[in-house]
Amino acid sequence: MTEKMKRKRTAERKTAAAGRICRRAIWICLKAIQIFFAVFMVSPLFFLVTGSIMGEAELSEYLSPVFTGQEGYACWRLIPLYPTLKNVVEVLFDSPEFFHMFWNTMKLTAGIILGQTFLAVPAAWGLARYSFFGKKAIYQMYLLLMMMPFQVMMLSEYLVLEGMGLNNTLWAVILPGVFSTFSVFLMYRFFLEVPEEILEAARVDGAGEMRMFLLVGLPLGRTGIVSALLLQFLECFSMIEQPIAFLKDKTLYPLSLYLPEIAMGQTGFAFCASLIALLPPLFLFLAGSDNLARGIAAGAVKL
Amino acid sequence: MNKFWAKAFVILLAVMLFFTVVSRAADSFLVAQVSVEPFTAKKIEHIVSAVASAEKGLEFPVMTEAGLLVRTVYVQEGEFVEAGTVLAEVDPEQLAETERDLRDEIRALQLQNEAAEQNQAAAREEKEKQKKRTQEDYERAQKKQEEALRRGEEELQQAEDAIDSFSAGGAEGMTQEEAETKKAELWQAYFEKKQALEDTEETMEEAVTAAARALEDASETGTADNSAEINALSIAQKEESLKAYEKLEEEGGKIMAETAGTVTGVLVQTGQKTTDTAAFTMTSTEGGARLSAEISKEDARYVEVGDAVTVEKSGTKYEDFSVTGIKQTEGGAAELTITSEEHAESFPMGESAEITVTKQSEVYNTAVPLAAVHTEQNSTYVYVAEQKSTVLGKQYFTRKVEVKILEKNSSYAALEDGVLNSENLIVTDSDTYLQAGDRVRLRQQ
Repeated sequence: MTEKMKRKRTAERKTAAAGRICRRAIWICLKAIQIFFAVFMVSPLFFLVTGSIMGEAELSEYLSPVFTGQEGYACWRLIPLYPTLKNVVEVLFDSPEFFHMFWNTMKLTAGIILGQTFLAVPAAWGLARYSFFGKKAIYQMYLLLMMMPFQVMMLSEYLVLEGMGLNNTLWAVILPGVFSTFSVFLMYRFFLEVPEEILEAARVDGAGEMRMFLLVGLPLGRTGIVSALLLQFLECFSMIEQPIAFLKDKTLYPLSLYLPEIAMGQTGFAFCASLIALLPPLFLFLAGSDNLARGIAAGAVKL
Repeated sequence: MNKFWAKAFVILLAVMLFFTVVSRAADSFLVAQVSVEPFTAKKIEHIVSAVASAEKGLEFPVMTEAGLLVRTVYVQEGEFVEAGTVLAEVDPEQLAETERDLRDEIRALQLQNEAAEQNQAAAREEKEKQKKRTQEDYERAQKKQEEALRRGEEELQQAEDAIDSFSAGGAEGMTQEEAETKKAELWQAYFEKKQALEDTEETMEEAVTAAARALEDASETGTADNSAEINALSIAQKEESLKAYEKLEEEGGKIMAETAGTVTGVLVQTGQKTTDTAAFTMTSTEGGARLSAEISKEDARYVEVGDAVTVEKSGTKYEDFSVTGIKQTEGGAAELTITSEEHAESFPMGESAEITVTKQSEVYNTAVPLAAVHTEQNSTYVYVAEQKSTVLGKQYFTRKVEVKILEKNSSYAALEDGVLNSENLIVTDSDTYLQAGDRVRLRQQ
């Protein structure tokens, strides 16, 4: 090996090493940025947890620039100086209105999810697996309606519900939710994935359309159904505009409207109530996170 | 689906259900329960109540004779006695002895009087006799004076006649010198007679004067002696006492109340002798009942002389009492005097009773129970329960309403009109301390 070649190899090794170091540095930087954003994203949850066990005096001290308009910035402690379970006790034992609204939310959400189970799933199956006149137009209309924000539909929905005498009842929120287009769209995408050969084989075996839907469609589209209903649950659990628009009676208010009811000086209580309100969707999210990821991916990729 | 988190979700729902029940239960336990009522038009009735005690009425003494040994005292101070009640009893032997002594004294005085009367009669007889003698002496002196004067005047007249007859011619036959001598002798005799007459007059005058003085002295009544009369008075008094002793003895030595009343003073003691002052003092039932009670300065504003008073004692009500006097005491309170012309026997001295004076104001349109009115520093307010829509449905919350009290009694307060309206539910009672804005639960009426 000549000297020239040796120098060349040495230079190549140095270049390769420098490249590795550079890539490593970039990787570390990216990880740092990732961690930073991850911490940033998780910080509200951290505030919720620490704020829930923080005393009112301590909260007032840290958040006084926010609430009183004083100069300076709000500050926070990683661990409360004087931890207390007073807020937890107050929410759990002395706030019947919190639980009342929680069950209102559960009624609304359960009603919508059940309704979608019985209506949106067959609708998505029909759109995905059958050819009929106007199918494309209907699909486009679904897409159009899905794109429209609630504010656009609010007045017409209100008038219809008023005409039906359903305003200021839970049905005023449940019925429009039952006919949400997003779930149909999401499940439609999953039902399209079902191979036509399997359906043909079922037909050959003498299965009827309903039997095919129940025994073939539903199992194969389970991921889509679950993810659609899960996403719908998360949306229903936190919806604000519909209850405000259609519910006048405070006894029908869902939990999403509870925070405005909390008076000033109850910051710790508000943190704790929010933390508890977070638990149901969090648990469901964790329970169906796999399906949800696939559902969201399907919706995003195949749109 | 992750089964663990699915189960966790189900458990969470169960936990939420549990705390729903618990928080409801805690809420119903902690929320103040209040009584409410709207205001009413009402007269404010001032009921002034106090405990009164009966005072003593017209007091009089129960007398007995002095010097009696008290054997037993049967009554105490403050005791009500009927007429004829034995108040005390004296020793009968000592009473009898006292009577004997008294009789002896009377007898002695009587004897003294008899002796004095005899002495006085003898003195009077002697005096008359002396007077008669001096009268005779006086008359004799007068006669002697008259006789002496008559003789003196006759002798003087004879001397004067002798001078006249000598002057008329008796000197004839006599020399000038003899005549002169004779004439001088006649005149000498005349002057002697005249001097003798004058001496006689003077002497006799003195004698008559002395006799007249003696007569005058004899005519005087002499030294006054009233001892008999005095003795007679003493005897009369002692006889009166004796009668009283005899009467007491007839009654067995018992000192009795002549009328019904309350014993206000026991002035005798067992084993001691009675004095000439009262043995007992009593109040009569004839003057009616008289009570006194002390009321606060606040209550005194509502009571006037002449107000009717209801007196209650042992469950019996007496409606015919009235306020007859109000006296301010040093502490700012007032002392009421309440009287009735009757019921004296029901209210012996020291007896206590509950009195009630009731006065009514004009009709006020806004009257609320006094318990509904709160005072804090310079603020007077009531809480009004107002219904609001909440998450848990229609609920009542308190609102503070500033009011002005026009008049009040122990139960109700009359408020200024216009602040409250007829639909306001005024909180009259609460099982916990209330603040404005508190959530409350209405008690079942």
